[in-house]
Amino acid sequence: MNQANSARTSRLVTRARGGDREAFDGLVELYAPQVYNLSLRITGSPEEAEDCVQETFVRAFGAMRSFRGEAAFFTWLYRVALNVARDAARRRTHRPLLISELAGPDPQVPVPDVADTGPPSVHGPLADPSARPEEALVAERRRQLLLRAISSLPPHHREVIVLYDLQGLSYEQVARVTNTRVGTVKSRLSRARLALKDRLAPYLDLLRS
Amino acid sequence: MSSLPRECAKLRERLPELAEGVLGGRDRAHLEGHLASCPRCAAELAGLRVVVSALRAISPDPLPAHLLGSVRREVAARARPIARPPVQHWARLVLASSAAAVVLAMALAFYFTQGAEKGVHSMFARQADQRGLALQGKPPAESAPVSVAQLPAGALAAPRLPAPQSREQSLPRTGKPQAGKRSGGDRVSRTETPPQPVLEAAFSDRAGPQGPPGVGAGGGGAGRGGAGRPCRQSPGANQSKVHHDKLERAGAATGAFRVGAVGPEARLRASGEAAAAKPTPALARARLGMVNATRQLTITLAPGAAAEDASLVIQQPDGHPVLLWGGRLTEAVTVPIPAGSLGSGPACIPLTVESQLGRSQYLLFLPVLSRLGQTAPSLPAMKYNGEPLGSVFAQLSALSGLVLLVEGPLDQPVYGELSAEDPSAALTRLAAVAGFEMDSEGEILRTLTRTKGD
Repeated sequence: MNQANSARTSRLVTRARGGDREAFDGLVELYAPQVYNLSLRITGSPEEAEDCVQETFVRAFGAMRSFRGEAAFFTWLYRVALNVARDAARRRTHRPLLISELAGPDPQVPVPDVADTGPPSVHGPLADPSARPEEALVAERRRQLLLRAISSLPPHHREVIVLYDLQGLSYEQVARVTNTRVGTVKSRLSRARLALKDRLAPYLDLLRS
Repeated sequence: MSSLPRECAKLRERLPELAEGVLGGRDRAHLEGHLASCPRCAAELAGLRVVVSALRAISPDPLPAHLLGSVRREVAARARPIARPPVQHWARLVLASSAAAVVLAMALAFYFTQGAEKGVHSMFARQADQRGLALQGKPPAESAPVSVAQLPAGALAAPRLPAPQSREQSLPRTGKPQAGKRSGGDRVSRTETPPQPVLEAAFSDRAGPQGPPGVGAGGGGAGRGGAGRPCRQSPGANQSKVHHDKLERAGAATGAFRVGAVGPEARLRASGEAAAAKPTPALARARLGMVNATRQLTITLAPGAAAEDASLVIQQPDGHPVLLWGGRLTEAVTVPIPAGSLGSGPACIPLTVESQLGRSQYLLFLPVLSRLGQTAPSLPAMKYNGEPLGSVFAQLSALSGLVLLVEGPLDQPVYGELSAEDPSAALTRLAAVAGFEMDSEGEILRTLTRTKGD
């Protein structure tokens, strides 16, 4: 975030803490994309993610007065968002799901064959609109493969991968968001990546391409 | 990776940092020295580099066009200071399913018989005593509650959960209960009686009057068990006989089950004839209590391989393959109940479900187990009003006749948050679903008066 954005955020946060909903709307506009993507990757469901975004901002607005500015607003907001998404993901694991809702034919085989990944997601962006169709298809399959592998990780591993690798947070920021120590973040991240690599081992050539 | 040489296993965790290029100094030099002579680790590093690079290339999904507007509207409509945990806390807390009449009948019968005779002073019993609620199975006065044993055949059926409409509608958002308002009990339905199994209950004399180690003669039952503290169990001969008689009466009155001879070991199992005629007699027709769930499950008590063993089989009644709790349930989930555990084992059964979404642990509280058994020693010391949370669930299960599936273990952060924020709110919601009411002090009570004349 550049300096101008940072100053703008600061002003919006100050006003929103005073109950200014218009200012809060500005924060929603700034952060909704990140919150949506965080929620999407944690819950694995676009519908759940939309609910999570709503719930996150409702909670955040209700708790704005308690935000004391000791941490960056976005790490505070991410923390709220992560809690909401965790709840949703947990509910999702409780909910009886039809087999068709999950891709893998067997839980022991977390990542399905690339050929079975189906058509590109209607929710995800195509990798590169300017690429040739077959390249775009391969890129999209690669993306789906990675996302499914991420969603197959245990929650605490998934979270660090999403926050660090996908959202681009630093170790320290991930530690603040997940309320853990930096050392824990590092070790979880290492294990998560190793687990991911093991799951994706049959597809490394595709990923490399 | 257990087959990795020790040196490789030790260095493996540093490989991702090296792949990312953030490992420096002596660690990096040491690792690179190892990689030069270890093709296996070198290949692993190459794979990690591919994965890390691919991860970084994942572009974010675009925000759905309508979402900004709906978020703004939602904030405008709902925004207020958060005083209570939201409904979702309930949702992640408990799956409450309605149980069959046999379970309810047995649970309540045990409650009635044990509450007074064994000196069980659970939180609920104490509360009931103080408020004059007849939870102890006294002969009912004109307006007093009616015990299970006095109900006509088929009068008690599975508690019926209100059909959840939505997260917002199905449960109270703020849960401060109002004293004196006790309508929750009306949720017990008499109309839906699932197929009645023939079950045989046998009770032990083996433990003798002293009971097992750690169980005092005046033990506090499940209510005061606490983490790792065994509760009263395996009554002596006289008590066993009393239980036997009471159960027999309750069974005869409800027609839900019959009581077998006193056996060498406390257990509940499908009778031989019933098992032969009906391999999976329905113990409970449960319904998932999750707000979004409408599917019904059957929980079946099946005889185990050995005579004293039993299994709980959890499946869809229509046999449709489903994935349940993040785990695969193509046919059925079978939860073995080791011999003796129904009588002297834990009040709950730990379940671990491995799935694509990771490993999930649950605790399955069963009414019968709750009354017959003790609180699982592994239940942590998380407390609600001084009561171990595990005991609270066990008692909720026993008193309501509900099968409770609780995400566990209970000392996970979710319960920490629950405790830190407002345990009574979450339990109020649970109580509402389970047909309990909580009084103004946050205690949980069950009014049984509704059973008369309903």
